[in-house]
Amino acid sequence: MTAFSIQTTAEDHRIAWFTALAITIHIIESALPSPLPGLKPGLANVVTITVLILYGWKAAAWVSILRVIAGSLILGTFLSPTFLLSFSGALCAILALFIADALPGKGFGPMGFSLLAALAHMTGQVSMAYIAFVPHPGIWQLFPVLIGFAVLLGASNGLISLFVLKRLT
Amino acid sequence: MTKADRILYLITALLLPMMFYFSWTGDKEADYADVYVDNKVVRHVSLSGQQEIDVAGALGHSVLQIDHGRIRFNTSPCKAKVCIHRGWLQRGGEFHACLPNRVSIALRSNANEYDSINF
Amino acid sequence: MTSVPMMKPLMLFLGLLVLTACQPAPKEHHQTLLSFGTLVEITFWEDDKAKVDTALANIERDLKYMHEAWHAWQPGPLGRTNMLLETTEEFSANPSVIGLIQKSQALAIRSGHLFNPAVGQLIKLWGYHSDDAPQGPPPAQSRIKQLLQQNPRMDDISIKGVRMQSRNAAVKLDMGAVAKGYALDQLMAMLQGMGIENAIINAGGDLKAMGRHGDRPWRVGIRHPRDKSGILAGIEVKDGESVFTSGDYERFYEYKGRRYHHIIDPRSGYPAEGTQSVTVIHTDAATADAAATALFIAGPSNWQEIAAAMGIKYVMLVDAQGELHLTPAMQSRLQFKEAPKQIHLSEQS
Repeated sequence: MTAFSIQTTAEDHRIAWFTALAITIHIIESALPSPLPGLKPGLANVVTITVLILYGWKAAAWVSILRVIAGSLILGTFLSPTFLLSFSGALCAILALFIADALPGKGFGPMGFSLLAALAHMTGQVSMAYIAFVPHPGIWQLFPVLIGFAVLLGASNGLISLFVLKRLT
Repeated sequence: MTKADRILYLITALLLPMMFYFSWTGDKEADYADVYVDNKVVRHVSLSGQQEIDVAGALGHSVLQIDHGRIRFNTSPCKAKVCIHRGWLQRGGEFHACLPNRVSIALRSNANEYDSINF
Repeated sequence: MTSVPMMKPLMLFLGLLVLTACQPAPKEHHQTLLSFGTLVEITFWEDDKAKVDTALANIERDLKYMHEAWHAWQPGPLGRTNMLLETTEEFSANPSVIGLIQKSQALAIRSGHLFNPAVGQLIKLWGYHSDDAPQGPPPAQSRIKQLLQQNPRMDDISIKGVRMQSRNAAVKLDMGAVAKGYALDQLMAMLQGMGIENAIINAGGDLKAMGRHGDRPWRVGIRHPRDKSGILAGIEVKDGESVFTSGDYERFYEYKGRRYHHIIDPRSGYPAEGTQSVTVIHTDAATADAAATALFIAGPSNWQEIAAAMGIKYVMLVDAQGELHLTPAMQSRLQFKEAPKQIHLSEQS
């Protein structure tokens, strides 16, 4: 059997490190009680936003997706409805960040990115919930409430990211 | 916060209450009204066209006015005329009453018009 | 759905939120079942949720039993009865079918045999004996003629207690035109026995009502025979009344541009012509069911006679041109959504 080795780059190491951090935060957070099932502060997103600003969108996308998949594998929710919701939320969030990052001009700071990601994440989740689980139009009456939460959490995660970035640079 | 951030938060702050308004108020237009006297349905009227309906209640006659999808209390024998001040009702699910005269109106849209469909 | 612990409370919360927004009546309970070969919708107006749950379980169980007992062609009580009738020898019939057969016999005679459940072979020839939709082509005329000549009728059967005998080997019972009605009568009696006072059971569009919807009567919409999304008229259904409609749109197939529906005229052997639908209101659901079929077959020219013979007061017939034929009693109860094209009133008071 010929041995083979995978060549890793410094970027790979970075992404792995941040992903591991994000996963850890995610798992710790999942142990905490929440007012609404499925509603979490999403502190792992601080890592995503920080990576976005420091290393660009691609790195942030990797960290985010890997975190959702690995996190669900570890927690045992892989391919469950919960996973489906998280994944669609994460996907929407990354897309929103891609668009926001690509916009010309001075652009957004961690506060703006965090808010956008939170809004996109929540919208993606509720849409997936409507399509796949609760196809009742009444779900949209809940939507503004959830978006309200998303705004608060997006803002607070943004502040935390701001703080972290200041400390790192 | 950057300038872009500030604008984003401002827009969000403005949009959020609007979202609540749009998803929480039923925008289903009413097609029919049930008129109750003493909690019993005495009339079941279509809100199309224009007409006036005379309803005999505990104190006297309340006159309801229907005008192309909306209805209101036009005259009523009560003292305070709270029922009249309410103005036009036009959305499915809306409800209003002249309590002294024991006359009330419940608006219904086609969606909940029938309990069962025969075919 | 997988039983992920987090989803149930989320659903509950969503459900509660939806409920608060929609302001439904707390006493109204609605349930849909797939049973008796069709979609059954049951609505209760009842405080006691436990009673409602028990009632629903009973309904589901009873419908399953009745569907299996009265299936003409699958092995079961009626299937066996058919085999024994064919022998033209006397036999002891299964109690689960006697009531239904006796009732059908009386109704068939009153309808002048326009309602004729003994022509099961003819129904099978057209492919309408099973719950699935037939495809065509239509059966050969010679074959139809053959069956007509054998002339199976309900009065070929003699019933004495549990002993039954047919004098005509061609008799094959297909209860499709009356089973639903008979079933609804049984179910309503069962609910009454349980102490339920307000309910509607709607089996595939035909329904029976009991009591009221709280402070007002039950309101039923009658669908337009041609416009699936439209309501032709609404009525307020009184306690104990059933509303049955026979239509040419319910079960049919098209072959070479012609439509062949499931209401076969036992006189011609072909689907009855001239009518789009007949709606009947009557307290006895089995009668309403059989009458809707018989009047459909009788058509615009003959329905009044048959309605009088069967004791039906409320009739609405929509003919092939879309014109309405009503008894005056029916007209006073119908609330039309739009003024109909043309109304023909019968002479009945």
